[in-house]
Amino acid sequence: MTESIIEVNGLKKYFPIKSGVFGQKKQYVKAVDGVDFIIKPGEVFGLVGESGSGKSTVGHTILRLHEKTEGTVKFMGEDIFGVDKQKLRQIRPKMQLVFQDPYSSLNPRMRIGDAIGEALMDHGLADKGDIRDIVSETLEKCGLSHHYIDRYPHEFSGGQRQRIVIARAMALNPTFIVADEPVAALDVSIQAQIINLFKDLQEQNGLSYLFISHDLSIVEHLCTKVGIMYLGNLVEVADRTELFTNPLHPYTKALLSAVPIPDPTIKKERIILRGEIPSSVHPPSGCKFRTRCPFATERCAQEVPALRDVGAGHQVACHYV
Amino acid sequence: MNSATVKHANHGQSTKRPSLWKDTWKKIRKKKLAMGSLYFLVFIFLFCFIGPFLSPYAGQSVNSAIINQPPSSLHWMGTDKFGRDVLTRLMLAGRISLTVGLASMVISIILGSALGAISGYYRGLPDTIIMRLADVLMSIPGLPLLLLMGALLSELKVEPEYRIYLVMLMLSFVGWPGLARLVRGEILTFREQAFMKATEVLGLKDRRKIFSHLLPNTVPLLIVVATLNVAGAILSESALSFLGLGVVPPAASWGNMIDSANSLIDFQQRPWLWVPPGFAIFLTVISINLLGDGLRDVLDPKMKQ
Amino acid sequence: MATPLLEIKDLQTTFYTEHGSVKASNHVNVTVNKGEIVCLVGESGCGKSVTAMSIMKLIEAPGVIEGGQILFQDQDILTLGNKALRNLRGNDIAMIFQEPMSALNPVYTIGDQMMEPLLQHTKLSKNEAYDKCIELMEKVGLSRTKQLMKSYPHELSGGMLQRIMIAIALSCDPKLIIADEPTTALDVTIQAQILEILKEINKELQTSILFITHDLGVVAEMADRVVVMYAGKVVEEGTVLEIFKEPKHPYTKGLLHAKPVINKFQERLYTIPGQVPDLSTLGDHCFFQDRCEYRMDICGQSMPALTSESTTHCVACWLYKEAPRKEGLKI
Repeated sequence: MTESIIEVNGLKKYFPIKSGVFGQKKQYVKAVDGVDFIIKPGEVFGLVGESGSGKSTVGHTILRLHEKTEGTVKFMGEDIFGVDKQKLRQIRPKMQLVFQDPYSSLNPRMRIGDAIGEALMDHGLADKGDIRDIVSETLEKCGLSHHYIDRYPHEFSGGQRQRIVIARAMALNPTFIVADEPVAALDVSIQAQIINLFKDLQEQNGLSYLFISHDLSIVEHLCTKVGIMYLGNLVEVADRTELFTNPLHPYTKALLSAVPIPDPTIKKERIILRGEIPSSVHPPSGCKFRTRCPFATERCAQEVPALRDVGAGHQVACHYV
Repeated sequence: MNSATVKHANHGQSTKRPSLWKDTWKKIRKKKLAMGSLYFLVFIFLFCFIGPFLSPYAGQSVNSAIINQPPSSLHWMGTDKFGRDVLTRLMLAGRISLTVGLASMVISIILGSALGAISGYYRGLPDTIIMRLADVLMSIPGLPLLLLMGALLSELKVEPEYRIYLVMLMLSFVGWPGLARLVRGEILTFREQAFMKATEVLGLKDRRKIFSHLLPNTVPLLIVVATLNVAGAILSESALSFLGLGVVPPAASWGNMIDSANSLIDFQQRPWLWVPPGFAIFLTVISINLLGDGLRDVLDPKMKQ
Repeated sequence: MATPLLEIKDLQTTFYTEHGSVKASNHVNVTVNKGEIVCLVGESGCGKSVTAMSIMKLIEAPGVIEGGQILFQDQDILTLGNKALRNLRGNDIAMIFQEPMSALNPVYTIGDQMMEPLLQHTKLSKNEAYDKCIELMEKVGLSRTKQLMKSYPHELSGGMLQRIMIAIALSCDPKLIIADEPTTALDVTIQAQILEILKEINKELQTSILFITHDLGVVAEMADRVVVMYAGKVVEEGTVLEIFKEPKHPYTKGLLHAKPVINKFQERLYTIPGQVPDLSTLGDHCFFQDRCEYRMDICGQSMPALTSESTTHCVACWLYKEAPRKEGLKI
């Protein structure tokens, strides 16, 4: 019996870009630059970061939608990058992905029933005659009427489409789902419906999620463990309550304070960060956050801070914590 | 989720999946232009394939007694310079022209979409090979190539009956590269979409990815190209036959019937020789294009019912 | 006493699509006073952006402004000719969009695009305009300004471009800035910076801001007054305290509940059931009735009008009308 669903070790993903007139100079976007974490059964791991932090790349690389640059990813003890194409195809149904944009993630020319059922058929996971029933059942589970089974995606609103995408993943009875900003494109009243659906499905099926989001309030609501990413590295990892009540890294603090609170009577101390996120082609030396950090010193420019445990599983990568 | 329990819990709940054909038929019936074209095409087919059996005349029997007669109650469209009944020949010619058009369309669509899909989906080496081949074929101007091949056929003294099939092959051989390129371009854009990433995550087989996801999205393009192709093939066959390089007499095709317009006296004084085949080509080509237009709209799932 | 700068009166903007006519702005009334920040809140498709675009007369076919008045300093914008309208757009009313990247032309430098409106609408010389641009850029918190003047839009990040857009908006000292979801495409730390700048501008220059957003957190932070829209209609209007502390309309209440809040963990989020209705098929009834947990018979029969609850607080809901209240309904 394996103890972890997902085990990521020293994962790096660099994307080559060509520069110079004839593309002779090769440079790399260091999207993910050494990330380690573990997701245990039933755990919902929230990966938070701003655009360019590499959080989506982590999610997609774990599913081997890209080849890695370095490091290992183990899914239930199996090295995802060590298996051949045939074996990978067999593992696929167990680890699913829910996309950010529910409009482009459904084939416009395929009825939703077929979209949900086809993988069952392709993998031989159900008898042909049963597939329609399984699809109906899954639709109902995801909060959609089974009468919708023969409709096309364009007949649905964004929230309903996201339910269809979730149903497509759930039909395969996965153990692990990567949710890549699944509610970012939805309205507030619909967001809440989808988040509740994620929560219900997780509790009913004992699923594990990697929930990628830029919205800390949603992550707090849904996740049991949270990792904060900045420029390709994890800067802080802790249990939900610990992270939100006792943030240690200056970036986490700034991020938390920047989230607007829907209550005009609360006037909180806000840490406004200077400047912009640096480019991930030429990240700053030492601690990557030092260019925006209010507490940066000489040491931060020279030494890369390691992600270390400061007690009770609270990990942080900063010299001064 | 346990599929066995699901099956029982859900029994009798699901309805039958509507068939694509029925659906399409229901929608296209509301399109007047497309339906008109469809009726006309059905008529043309019956006319060409059944008609000759009802005609008292044989298409190739020469009768010097009745040459170049204008339309009359005996010969509704008159007779030609060998005394053959023009109406009967028009029907027989239609058989050939329609077969050539449809068959060369089918061949070039199959070739073009399969090769285009393979080269767009796999990229790399297959892409390079297929596309360079297409480049070579496209860089040779089509009509001279067909002329050359036609002349070659004449030189080899191919039997008139077999010649037709060779003409079809020639036409589709020239027709596929353009289509393959279009399909490849479409596939390249679609393969980058999120729903294709989804098929990867679902672990679907390559065959399903290509045939259930990528190719259906090129259907609107395929239909437009297919209709243009049928029309184009009928026209090129006519052109070739008109030049004496395609279907050669005594076998009739709409193209070699118009050939009579080549002679000044026929053109000026015997319009019954070349007007009927001209109209047949014109109306058939237009109907095919209109039907294709209608089909493309109907097959778009976003169309309002 | 507050003096109104912009008054939208009974605005009706309709889009004629092949699926029917969509009343995107359905008899909308909004007032923005001098020096005030008014937030227009609602979900996508509620008509908030269409209302804003109507102010600038930027509605394009198949949309038509069918009725109403838009009074800016007591002058009806809808009756203005093209020239007067252009003048107004450049000088008195400025606009900031959600996507700064698409609002800037990729083939001109930032400097060219910043100086252009100055050279067109003011009598500044080229050198003076250049200096003014540098000054404006510093005001919105940009550094290395001379270098930025020479760069092209694609070389800058979204946050920097949005600052540039604000600088351009400020360049002609507008009386009103219309900001259409200006921070939606930005990260939270950058959003915090931009909101700070807009608040400063409002305080220092007394510029009124009509702020359009779907994010209630941003509303709480920015607004003096709030207008809540649903399905093309204003359903509630009030001061920021009234809206957040004593929301009246069930939709406003639902929105406030549905949003997860940091450090206020809930086991389950409150949800508003159902979907936003199709605007082309609505009849004469409250548009929220099919999603409302307080639904009464009258809600399906007739449309509630916007009525005042206090001098500043209005709501359009049958719960607050005389007749049903007499029938002893619990509110």
